[in-house]
Amino acid sequence: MKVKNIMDTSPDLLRTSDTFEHLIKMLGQVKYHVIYVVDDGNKLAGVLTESDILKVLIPKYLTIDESLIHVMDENYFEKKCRESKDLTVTEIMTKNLITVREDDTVIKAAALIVVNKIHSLPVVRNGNIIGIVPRQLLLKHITRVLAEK
Amino acid sequence: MVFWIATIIFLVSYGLIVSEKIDKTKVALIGAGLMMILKIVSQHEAFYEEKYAVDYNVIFLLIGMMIIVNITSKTGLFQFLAIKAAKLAKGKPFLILIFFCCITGILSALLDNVTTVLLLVPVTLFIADELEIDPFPFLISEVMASNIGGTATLIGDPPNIMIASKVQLTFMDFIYHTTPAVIFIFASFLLTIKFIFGKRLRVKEEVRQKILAIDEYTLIKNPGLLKKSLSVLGMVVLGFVTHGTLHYEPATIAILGAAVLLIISKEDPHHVLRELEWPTLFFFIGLFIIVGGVVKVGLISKLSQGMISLTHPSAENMFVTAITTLWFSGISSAIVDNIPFVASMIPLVIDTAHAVLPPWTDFKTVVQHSTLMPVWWALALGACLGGNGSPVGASANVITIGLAEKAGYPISFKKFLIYAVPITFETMILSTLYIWLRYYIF
Repeated sequence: MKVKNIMDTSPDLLRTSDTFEHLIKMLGQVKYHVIYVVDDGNKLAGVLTESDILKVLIPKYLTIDESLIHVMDENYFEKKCRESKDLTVTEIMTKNLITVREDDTVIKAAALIVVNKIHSLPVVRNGNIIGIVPRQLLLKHITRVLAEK
Repeated sequence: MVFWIATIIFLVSYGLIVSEKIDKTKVALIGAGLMMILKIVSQHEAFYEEKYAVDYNVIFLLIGMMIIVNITSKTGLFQFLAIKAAKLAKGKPFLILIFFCCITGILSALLDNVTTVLLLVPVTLFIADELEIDPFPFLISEVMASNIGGTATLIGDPPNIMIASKVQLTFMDFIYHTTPAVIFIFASFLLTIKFIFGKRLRVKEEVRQKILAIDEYTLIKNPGLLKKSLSVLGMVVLGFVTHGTLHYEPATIAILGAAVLLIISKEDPHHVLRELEWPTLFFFIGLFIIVGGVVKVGLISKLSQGMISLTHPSAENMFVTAITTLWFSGISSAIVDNIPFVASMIPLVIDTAHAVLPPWTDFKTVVQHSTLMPVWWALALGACLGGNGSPVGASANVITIGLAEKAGYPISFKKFLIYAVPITFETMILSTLYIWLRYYIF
């Protein structure tokens, strides 16, 4: 079975120039907890997950010394939310992407998701995103396989 | 032939360590392996003969202190001290900077510099974030304070440990000779940073109030472990103070302290020992064997002849030798790792002493001759303070720059140099003055 047989061809997308505020407003309509970012030439530039959003709001020194959580200002999170409003998604997104092509196998997609501990894979053709394979669709595929006689 | 093979192994190893193209521990171990396989030094000489062997006093002193520091760092003490200091400074940024420099300097004198900055940099970034100011003045000043503070004691910086072990100097010898120099240099350093950063560090009253509202006691993760760590650390420092009188080597004190702390803290030794800096320890081991090889073939003696003809030391006066050693060490340590440099300089100074001083049979009488002592202090001051001269001059610099970058505050090579070079130059001039005034005028 190929990726093209199970992928969703309408992934949620944002442009590189869109802002943090834009991203947050869009969250309510997102299908698979992931948004892909494309540049002006419609080439895939990055990915945004809930974790990327939260990372912006947490000071980076906490990744070096976790114990400082105990002394942080209780309003830090809210303050950072307001400060981050105008950040572009390019500053937030993860740029190193793992992708699959439409002719790749489902087992390859499933393995990449498990090994890299990610939720979905973008399907690309010549650098453009043409679909998405999230965990949910892989699980749906399992249901179909088991239903086959 | 053997002379040239040993010299080539030494030079190639040194070149590779400086180039940083291959990991320095790998270079040191392969160099040491070649010295032994080619029988330049036998394994017996490399392991057991004092003149050429690995200096286990240095290795075990480092291991002991690494264990003590590893357990103490888990208590939250460093972070607690930093927040306490920030509150004592009433949230005034420049005063916080001064207090942080003092904490860094004192902790670096007693513990290793890398652990000190590793634990203080995140809390510094937190304070700067709370104060809504650029953390750079704090970070650069703390690195400098760490390298200056480490110069103060026998255990503060590896060059001092190496010199003390070979020359049989005590903890108190360093307290009498390098600590006063460091106090003098540190005071001048604080004045310099006031001049550079004093006006830049101003914040509004309400921002300062945020610092005063922090509860620093929440940072103490394990009060029981803290008490045990501080007790052992106190006993170890007392042991260092008295080791000369009681005729114990510093490594004995450190290893016993580490063992006691491992037992009373109930920490898992597998876990603690896994976290030690084994690459650094094996770097030392390899380096000692490489230097042992070039000492045995006579390269170091030849170099000491060069030093003699250049600086004309005599049994009565080695002023030029001391000052040349100071500046040569300072400049070299800014460019290359000060550990291989000091490892090579120690036998060089010893050979110079043997050539110039009257031929006593007792090794200690020669290496601790009153004319020679200023040269040792010059070597210690130059090698430790020179580390401030560039981003790669000392491990603490590399760690701080790495952490700053990770936290989103990159410090460029150029920016580091702009601040570091004048301060290093200042500390070197003050060291020159100290040596001249203390050993040749008064």
